[in-house]
Amino acid sequence: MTLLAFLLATVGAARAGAAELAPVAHLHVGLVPEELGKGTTIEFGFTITGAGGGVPPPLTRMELRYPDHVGIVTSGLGIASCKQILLEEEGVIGCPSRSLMGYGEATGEAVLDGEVLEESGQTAIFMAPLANEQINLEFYVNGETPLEDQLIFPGVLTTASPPYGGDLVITVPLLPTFREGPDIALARLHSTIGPLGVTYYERVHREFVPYRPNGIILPQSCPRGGFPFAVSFAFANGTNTTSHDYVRCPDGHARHEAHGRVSGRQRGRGSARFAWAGARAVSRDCCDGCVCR
Amino acid sequence: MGKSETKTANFRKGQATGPGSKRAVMRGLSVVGPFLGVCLVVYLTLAQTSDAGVREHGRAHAASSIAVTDTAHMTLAHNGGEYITEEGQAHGTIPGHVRALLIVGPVVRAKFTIYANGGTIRGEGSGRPKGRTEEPSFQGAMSVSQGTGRYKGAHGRGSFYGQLNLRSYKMYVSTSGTLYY
Repeated sequence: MTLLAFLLATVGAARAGAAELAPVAHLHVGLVPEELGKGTTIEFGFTITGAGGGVPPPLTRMELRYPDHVGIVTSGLGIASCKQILLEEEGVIGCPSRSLMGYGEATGEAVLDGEVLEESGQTAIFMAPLANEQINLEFYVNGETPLEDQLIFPGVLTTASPPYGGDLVITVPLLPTFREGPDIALARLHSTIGPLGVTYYERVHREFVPYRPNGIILPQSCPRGGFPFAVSFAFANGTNTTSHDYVRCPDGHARHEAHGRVSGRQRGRGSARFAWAGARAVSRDCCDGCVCR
Repeated sequence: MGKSETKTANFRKGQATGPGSKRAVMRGLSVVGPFLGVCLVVYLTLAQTSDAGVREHGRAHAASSIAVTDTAHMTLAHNGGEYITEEGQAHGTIPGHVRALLIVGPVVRAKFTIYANGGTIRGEGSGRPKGRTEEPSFQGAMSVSQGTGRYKGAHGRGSFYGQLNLRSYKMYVSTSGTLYY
């Protein structure tokens, strides 16, 4: 065997090995409500399992791509910003209500002495200050049990190639369970991006008046095949995986529906899963001398 | 407002005359007459073609180049999700009603039409957001690619600065550049 053949065989074997070890992810997305031309909330969730069905490797990067012509920037969401240092020092209470873009919950897993340790926590997505001519976000995780810790991951909203209109990229640092312990792997996440359950406050004269932001405006027409979403993951062991989902066109727009795989769904409004109210993040608005209605 | 106009002049070929007596000329003509006749036909043909070319050339370059500085305060006319339409009144070198279609994503792209006195001007530009989150500004290059009426064939390049309030959707735009028409 020549050296070249040996190298090719080695690389091929390594790739095959990596493919075998790649975790499996399942994305599911819903739009609440799904009315063309109206504001909506994107509800998304995913599960990640290891190649053999066990604990996946730790996550290092996540990209959530959303459909073209969907107005996230014009949604009225995230029209204030929250600095990372505020989140670190004061938690969500330190952020302006109008910087909250969505919330949910996450579950991480780690194998410790042969047993699977689960860590769950509430999550929130905040608009961060514009920097480097980019739309920045902060992804906040409030760990509850058994490890109480607050984690903040930076994110950025970038352009994406069609059929996607944008890409929410979140970089995830390695999170050890404890010093020299195994890293936590993200196993499940459910979150919203939108006004569902979110209340904003704006100052009118000397009062803070609550209102609900418009929401992510859907285009007037539904794309063929439904609204496409995709999530890509990069893991600490060098593997990658991607999962797609489509939200079916609403009734009356069936002519646009594709013949391919359509697995979107619409969940009930105000799911208890997302009961972590954005109203918790209003104290920054209600400053001294002002009255919150 | 600054305005500088450049126009090309129509140049006509001068006619050369040579010295010599009438007889000599007649003798010369008898010798070179047929040749001159052919030359005259060729000259007249060429002159006609050349004149037409100069006129066409002159018309093409009779365009004005105008340094344009315009500002506009605009309000939301339609919110179509990622696409929003803003309308307002432009003030400055080329005043008029202005309508802009903005694609507001990670990059802001705008296509605009100015309904000015005597014609319209169309162009586009793009920029990335910065500044305050509630009222991001964006600036970048813009180009004019179309025009109608007195601005027929308009083209040009420049830069723009915009500021969009994401709560009220009120927008301020300032442009500067050079327009040829």
